[in-house]
Amino acid sequence: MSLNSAITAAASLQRLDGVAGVMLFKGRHTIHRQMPFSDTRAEELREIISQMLDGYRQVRRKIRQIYLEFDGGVLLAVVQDESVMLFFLTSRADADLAASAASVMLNDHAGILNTTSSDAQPLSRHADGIEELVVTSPRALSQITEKAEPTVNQWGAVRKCVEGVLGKVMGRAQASNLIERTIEEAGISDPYRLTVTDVRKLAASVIEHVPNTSKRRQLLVELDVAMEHLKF
Amino acid sequence: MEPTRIIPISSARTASGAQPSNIVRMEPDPGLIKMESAQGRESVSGGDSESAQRFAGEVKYVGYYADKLVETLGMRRLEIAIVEDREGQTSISAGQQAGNWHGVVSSNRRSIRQVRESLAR
Repeated sequence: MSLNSAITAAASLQRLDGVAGVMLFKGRHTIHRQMPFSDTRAEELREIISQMLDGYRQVRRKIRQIYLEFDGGVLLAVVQDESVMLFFLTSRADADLAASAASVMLNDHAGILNTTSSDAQPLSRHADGIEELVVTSPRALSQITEKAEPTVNQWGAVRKCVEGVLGKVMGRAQASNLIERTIEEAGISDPYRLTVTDVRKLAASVIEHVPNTSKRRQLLVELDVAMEHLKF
Repeated sequence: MEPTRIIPISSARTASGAQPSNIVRMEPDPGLIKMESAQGRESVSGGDSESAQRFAGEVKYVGYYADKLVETLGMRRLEIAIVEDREGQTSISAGQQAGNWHGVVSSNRRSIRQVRESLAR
């Protein structure tokens, strides 16, 4: 499979208002790079962000997004597994929209990105040193941003409700592990991006793991009550 | 017109008790954590102990890499950082003095715009 579609999608994100540069990489493999400074500096930047994310991985923190606002610009890294979409934004940019669009892009190309090597690879360039131009259309961007929702759902609050209900039959760590396992089994990369219906389904599917039928029914009723006060 | 200022509800009032229309008094955010350093000593206040510990760790970790990034990007300093993981969100904002930070450790996730607005208060 080719990375061309992922490269085109990453390049199209540069068309978002206020985006000064984009870089898509996985480990030491820079898949697409279009930054407003030299390649050496861009690679230094990739290396620092990679090291930072490696540190989080070592303590088993699954980072989704890092927003760093400096006095002269913003770095926004949207992470999915080992793949990172990095933005260099100006103050004009809508960082939430950029993050959401990157999240959609990474999800859409998760298959090819997961199978791509994270070892350093040469960027596609012609032997004569002329850089390949990635042409994107406004339509490519609109297809991504149509799916991108700048807001996130209430998963954090729903998760608290689930943990509270599960706390009646198991310990906190066990409940937390069960939630994580259910998310992974369902193949959900970001529960915060689910629709209201799917968030409710996810919460119920966690409780469905409780083996005792009568306890499970009781917990499902309690979950409904606990979630009633939430504004979706 | 004077810009709106939000101040803690416990702030001292003027002798006459009158309050300019641009001043809004609000309860302090109970989740707000402050990290201050003075004469090489660091102190963390606010939030519960778990959140305060996590906040301090995050400030140091992000600060370490921000220093490297500042050099690479040719900028001066980090002003705001928001780190999101599966567990929630840690937001950090630089104070007026170097080494002073404030922010929130939250189990919920808010949009970047919402976090920036709340940190600016």
